[in-house]
Amino acid sequence: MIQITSPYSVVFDEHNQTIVFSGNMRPFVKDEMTEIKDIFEKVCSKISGTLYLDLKKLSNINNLAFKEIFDCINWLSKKKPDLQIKIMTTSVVAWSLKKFVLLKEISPSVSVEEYDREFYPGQGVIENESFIPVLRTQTKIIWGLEKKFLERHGLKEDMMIADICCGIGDFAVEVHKAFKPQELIAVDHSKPSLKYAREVARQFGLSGIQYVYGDAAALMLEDNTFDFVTCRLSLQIFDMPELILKELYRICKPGGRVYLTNETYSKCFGDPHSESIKWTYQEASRLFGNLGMNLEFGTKMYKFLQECNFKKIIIEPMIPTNINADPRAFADVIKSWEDYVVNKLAAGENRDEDYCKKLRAGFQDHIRAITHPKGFGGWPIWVGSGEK
Amino acid sequence: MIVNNDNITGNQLCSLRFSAMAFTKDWCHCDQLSNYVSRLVSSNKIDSFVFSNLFSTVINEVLEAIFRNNSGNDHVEVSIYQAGNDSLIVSSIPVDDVSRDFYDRVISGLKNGDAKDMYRELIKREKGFAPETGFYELAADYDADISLEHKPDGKRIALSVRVCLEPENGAVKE
Repeated sequence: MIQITSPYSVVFDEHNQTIVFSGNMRPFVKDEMTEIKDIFEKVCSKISGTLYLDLKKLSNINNLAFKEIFDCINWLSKKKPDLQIKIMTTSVVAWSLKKFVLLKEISPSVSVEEYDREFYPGQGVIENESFIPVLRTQTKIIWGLEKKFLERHGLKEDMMIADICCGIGDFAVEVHKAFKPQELIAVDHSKPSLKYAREVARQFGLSGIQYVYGDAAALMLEDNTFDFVTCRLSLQIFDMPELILKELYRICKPGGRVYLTNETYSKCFGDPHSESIKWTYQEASRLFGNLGMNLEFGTKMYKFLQECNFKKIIIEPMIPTNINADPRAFADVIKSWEDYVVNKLAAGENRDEDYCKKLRAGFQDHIRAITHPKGFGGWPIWVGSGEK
Repeated sequence: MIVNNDNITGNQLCSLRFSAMAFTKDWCHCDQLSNYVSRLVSSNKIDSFVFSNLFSTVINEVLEAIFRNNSGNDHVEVSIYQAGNDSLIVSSIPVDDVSRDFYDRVISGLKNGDAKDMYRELIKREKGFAPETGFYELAADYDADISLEHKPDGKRIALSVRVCLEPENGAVKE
């Protein structure tokens, strides 16, 4: 079973003042839950300010357990009326919010929120339907190069594969065609992207890919399940990439590999007009940065993979250029960046006309460089992987 | 298989038949059966993971009620149907006077009161857990249609729970 069905655990993280619930919580009698009462008693004597109840990885709960938690919170809020109690549910577990919202009735100091709605600042932008053309054109030029990288980083036929932050699912489709996996699960938190992915799969009569709505930072997948876990161009858009990397590590089998790609966007280059191109990409990277994204994450992967205990780490550059990729398709990618960065990001910050003009000129110079017979341009992406 | 009788029109997805005595030997059977059956009936769903998780919540409440109100050695039969966008769980359960009374009380409570209020009351009460809580939650939070049929010999009931977890557009209900 790939989905989490393991018995529940409840752990108090004193440092973060958080009680973390996970797994399947379906006890027969409340005496099975004495540890939870003990934790609430400990909390009562030790903390002040705000207590967090993290329910993101609680896959199931029965009503006996729910009542017990209700009673514990009720008891605590009476004992410590000044304590704020914040309950974090997730939209990935469809029953979660509608069940836990009842806890708000205990006291005004108890709040319940869907944590993944506001996980990172740029989430709304990335999950928006308007981002689909950007993703689609990018895959067009990357896949031709990436297939060889995947082989070098350990992807083989007949593997159990998870593609986390799968976007519109086009990479999963290519992997499915080229590597015939035993099972391929593609997870994303954008409903429009998943809808698009499923529609493409339906139109092309593709079966064998499970597109699943999920939160990369709290995956509802069992530990040690996949031979190969991919997460492409995604850690760079979260402001807490270590949380996601930890999850990728958890679901990867011992001996399996986690495969990442991330950019150094400000280092996109081209000639002629190299200065204009350089300025534009540095600015664009900064604009993405204002949304909480770090499009320079590519060169940080080595550090993050090490800190997450990966072994046999490989890091190497993969640079689509007008020589190794189709210049026309590459130009389409840059055009989609131009539209997005100038029309959405710069406009969103109310930048003046001169700034937007200069920003747009750099993208257009980049297009000229890669489509000119003697011009040259590229997009630096870093490929990294590590063994669990 | 399309089943078509007086009460059920739908596609039977699976049917389980097990000894009540064996089932009630271990509480974990409720959770294990819920998760197994949920995965089974979710395989053709658009988001099979999300549907399976929701379906497991629903069927587990039914199985836990059967476990807690078991009254004999006879067999239990649980059948799952797809009826349009609805999922239908029909359980044939052996009963005695006490357990029959339990199910009758649940149905009468649902008919005569507001499920949301009753669910809230049962969770908030100081008296401890009430085994009917799950049925009120299904009616309150999932708009479940719960009905009961007494078999002529008085020794069995058929408990039906009809719920829509996946509306027409295929997205799982939130």
